[in-house]
Amino acid sequence: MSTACKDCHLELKDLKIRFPLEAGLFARYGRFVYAVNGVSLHLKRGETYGLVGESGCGKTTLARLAVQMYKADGGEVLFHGKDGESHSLMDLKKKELFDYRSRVKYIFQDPARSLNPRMNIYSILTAGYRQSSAWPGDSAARQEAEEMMVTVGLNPEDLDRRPADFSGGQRQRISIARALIMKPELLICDEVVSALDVSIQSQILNLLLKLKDKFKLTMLFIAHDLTVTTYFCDRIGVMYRGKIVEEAPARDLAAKRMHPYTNLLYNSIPSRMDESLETEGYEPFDSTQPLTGCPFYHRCSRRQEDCLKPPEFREVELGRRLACFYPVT
Amino acid sequence: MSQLVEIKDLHITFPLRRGALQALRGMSYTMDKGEILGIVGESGSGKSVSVQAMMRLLPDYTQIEGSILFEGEDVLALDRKKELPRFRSSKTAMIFQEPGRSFDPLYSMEKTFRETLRLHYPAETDEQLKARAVELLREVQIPQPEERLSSYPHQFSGGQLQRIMIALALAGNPRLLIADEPTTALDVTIQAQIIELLLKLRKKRDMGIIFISHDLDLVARIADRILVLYGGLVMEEAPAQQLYKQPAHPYSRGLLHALPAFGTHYSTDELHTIPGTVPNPIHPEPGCPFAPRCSRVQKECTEKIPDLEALNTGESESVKLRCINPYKEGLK
Repeated sequence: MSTACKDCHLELKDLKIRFPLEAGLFARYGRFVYAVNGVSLHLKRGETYGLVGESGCGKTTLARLAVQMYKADGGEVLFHGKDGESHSLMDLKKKELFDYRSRVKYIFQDPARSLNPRMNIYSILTAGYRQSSAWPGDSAARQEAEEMMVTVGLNPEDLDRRPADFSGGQRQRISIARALIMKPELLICDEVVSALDVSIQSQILNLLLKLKDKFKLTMLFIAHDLTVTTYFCDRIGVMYRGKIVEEAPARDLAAKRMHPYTNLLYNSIPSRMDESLETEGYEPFDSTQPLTGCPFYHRCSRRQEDCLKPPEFREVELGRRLACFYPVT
Repeated sequence: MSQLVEIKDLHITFPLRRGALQALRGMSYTMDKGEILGIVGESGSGKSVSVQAMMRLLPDYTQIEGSILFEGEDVLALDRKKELPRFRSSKTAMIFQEPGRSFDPLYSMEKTFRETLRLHYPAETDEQLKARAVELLREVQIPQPEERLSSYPHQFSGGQLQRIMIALALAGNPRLLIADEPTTALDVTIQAQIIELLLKLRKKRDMGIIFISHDLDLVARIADRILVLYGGLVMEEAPAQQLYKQPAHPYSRGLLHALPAFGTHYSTDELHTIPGTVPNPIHPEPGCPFAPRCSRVQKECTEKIPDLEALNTGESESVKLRCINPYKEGLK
């Protein structure tokens, strides 16, 4: 249905969404939070794409748009499935959307709050599966669940226990098992290691790397930590105020940062910090104002008058796209 | 240099119905005036409990053994009504992880500051207290402090609230600021600002800081000396740069390796992990708490907890280590 790139798995085209600030009857007249202000990106098959940015920049909203948890105000989500079919998410009917969501699974940040404490692990793993057309029946599913527990490094005998019996790292493994049991093609990982201890974080990252190979997964990996993202991902998009300001292959981004915001993120890495960093408190951006110029304008040390107009997001070198009039290098 | 804090053989136990939870199993350290001491550990290592004991914030049923001296004064013997409020507000101060939850949402900043400042300057007028509040806000680099005083907590960002928390903490000219994961809930760029601010304040006020975090990279940036805690025990104590370049304890080294270095990539570099999980604080195994996860474990490790011993590094600054089979060479 589209002229899209060949090995694309998921394409987001000029996505926009705003949320009403007031609820209820007045929502229509009220003010809005402009969360995502026109983002286009694509995930190639088998690739891990990292979205980096600080809280409120719209990275989670963008990921949720990709599974239609919200309905976008504008733009398009295109999914090119394993079977060679392409769908525009906006056209899907309820049943088709359900099917889509079993192929694109979402893992949340806080495993403690995303697992029902009153369900045992087996019920948690199969709650969604049970509703799908691929449901193989309880005895076969039980066996699949046991295999999945082993795959994520848990004891299959623990299927009858409840989330409270597990540590944070183990709960995150359960979340991963729940996502994988329906054999998805694409995984969206929303800050999956942020709430974990350092030593557990690396266990989960290594597990995801292993599973990615094993199940040939495409991944959208959301994080606020530039170091972890450049380690874990193939390509990275840096988001600020609902826009992607720079996008490059991870290794290129690690070697060279062109957008002033990417550079600020880089200089905020603890082992890189020095006295030259700004210590002055700044006014956070007001996301209730529609975005007009460069999203980073109010914080940028390199800004000029023309930055009040929106910079074009264009390819500046092979594989690197940038939206900045006055890049760092 | 003169001593600010001296902690000797501190044991903290919470008697629970399931058994006695041994949060700290013997912690000793000293800290000089104006020093920044970093305490690193994972959840459950006892890092927060150790400073809560110093602030006497633990519930009454907690069993505390050992001694805590602050400028020579026995903190555990302070009278709860007569002496403790003065100790908590004018000698020490504390800032917490989530600044958003530490303010009363119905108080304007002016009211919040007035309440705190009145404790220290009971004779002053509202106008004088306001001037002090403005001065404090200016010190933590809040833009337009006069106008911002009439704002309410929800009108500030997380990073600004943490600055204001620091300003409130400074109100009583504390000798020691305890910062318990003060940047964990903040964005990385804001975290960097807060760290630089704390370093400036320490220099200006010659104030000691205990900085608690799970992030060894971060603590190495701010601290002069670092304590690595695990299972309620100090595993290693060393000058920050020494610990960062040459961690001797297998746990310290494991922690450093578990964070990917900037510029490494999964396609070429392996990410090291520490297998297993943290020990159960209710029925700890005999021996070194790290033994079940340690790659250099010896037979004796599982039988007896090694002592925390000073290591002869040939350098003037001391390294203390609780390990019978430590690493001897530097990183890479």
